[in-house]
Amino acid sequence: MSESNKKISLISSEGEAFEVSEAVAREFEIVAHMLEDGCSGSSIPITTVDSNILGKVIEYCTKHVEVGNVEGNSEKAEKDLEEFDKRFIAVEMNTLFSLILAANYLNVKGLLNIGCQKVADTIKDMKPEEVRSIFNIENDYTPAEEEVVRKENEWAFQP
Amino acid sequence: MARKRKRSGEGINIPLDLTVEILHRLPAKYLARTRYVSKQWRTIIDDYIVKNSVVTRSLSQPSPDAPHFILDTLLDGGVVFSYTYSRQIRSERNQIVEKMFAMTATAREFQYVRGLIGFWSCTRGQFTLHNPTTRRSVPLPDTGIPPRRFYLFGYDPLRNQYKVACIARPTSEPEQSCKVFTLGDLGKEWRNIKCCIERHSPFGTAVCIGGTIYYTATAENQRNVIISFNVVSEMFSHVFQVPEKLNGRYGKSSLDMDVWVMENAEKQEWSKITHMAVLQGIPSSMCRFGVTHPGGEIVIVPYFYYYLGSEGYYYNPNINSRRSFVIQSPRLGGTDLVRIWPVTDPVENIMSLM
Repeated sequence: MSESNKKISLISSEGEAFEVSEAVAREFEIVAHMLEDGCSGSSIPITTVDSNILGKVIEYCTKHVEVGNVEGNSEKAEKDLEEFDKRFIAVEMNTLFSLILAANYLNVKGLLNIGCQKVADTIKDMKPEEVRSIFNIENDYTPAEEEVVRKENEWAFQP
Repeated sequence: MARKRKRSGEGINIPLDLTVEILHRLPAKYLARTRYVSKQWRTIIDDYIVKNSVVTRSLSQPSPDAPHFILDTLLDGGVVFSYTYSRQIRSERNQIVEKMFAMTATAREFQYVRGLIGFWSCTRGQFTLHNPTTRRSVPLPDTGIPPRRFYLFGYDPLRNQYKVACIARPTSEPEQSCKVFTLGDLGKEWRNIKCCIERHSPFGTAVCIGGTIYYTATAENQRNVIISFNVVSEMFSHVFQVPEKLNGRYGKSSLDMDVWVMENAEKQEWSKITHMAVLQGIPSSMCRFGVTHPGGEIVIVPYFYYYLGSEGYYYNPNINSRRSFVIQSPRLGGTDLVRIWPVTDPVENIMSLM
């Protein structure tokens, strides 16, 4: 991609406009497709994502575009990016889920990947009750069924 | 395109495809624990992530490319078997995982099938199954077949069944005795089956591909043959004559590797493809091979008990390229003698063995 200074406005669900460079906007695959399909408008509504989350997703994409443009010293850059990802994803559960939903909708693969990994790492050591409350799930096992499942998966509950 | 659902209550409802995406990233053990959350989650796990006990991995994950091995270490008091692989953790250094799974007085033969290790001693002893994911072992009942027996371990993809066959050494009897054990069978007994082909002595390592086990054997005329055992129908068949030229080649040192391809089973037609200089720079003691399926890469690791063997190779015959890898294990590089068995196509299997 050449040094394009073209700016694009992304409009959040509240109607707030975020002005970003085309390179950053293209990190949203959904936007990239729209641009390729000839949608040349300079403002694109992202109706399902609110300002708070949209701002964060843009921050993520901006950083990744920036690092991608730097040449040489790639090992350090990669490390920095990993550090950035780690800090970026260290948010409370509801925000994390919102980021995953937005990344999924906007098709930002890197963010979707680290988001899902973060949730998996978080729920890994949780008790089933805690996982239920995070995911809004009701325990629909009867005590007898619960016993059967526990027996079947007994090995997994041992250290 | 995925949908976003409305918020309900305090938490957020995550669509099914994203739940699957998240659960795909859990290590097998935690995945099994998560079955406990709800019936719906158990269904999600069993329908989308665990296929016939094997944990599938999502493609967006870092590739589970790291080679897996079974190590067979000779110590003073006996032989220790362990399962080893290095796990790549995002943004962290590789972590070597090594789990000892058995210790016996004598060396064993191994066969790895779909996440399970079967091992036995050919001189005596039973067949034991080990699941490195659940870390459970179970010895099968004694076959009653006299020692110097050979076991075949395979998987029937149609019925989702594992079977073990035991073949006796050929005797003066016209038919070799053979028994089969089906894993998970309520009777837990070995059944007699007919071994309706010529008498033969199996050797080497058997492989199971798509419901058929292939193994090498010496026929009565002292020629080497390849025999197949169909795990579904429990029939022995297709005695392939190993090409005459190949019989004489054993032990000959060469830098080239010949791959013989059976072109036509009925006509016993073989063709030979020679890969030049594949073994260049590899110590001559390196010659235990494994072939990945369906990738077709050839794994080359040291044969016999080896002190220093910490390097192995992957050879890709399609693009004629070789890359080396380090076999990471605290057992290597010391004074212990170690035998290395490459595990091709490793998977996590969460089946509880009986």
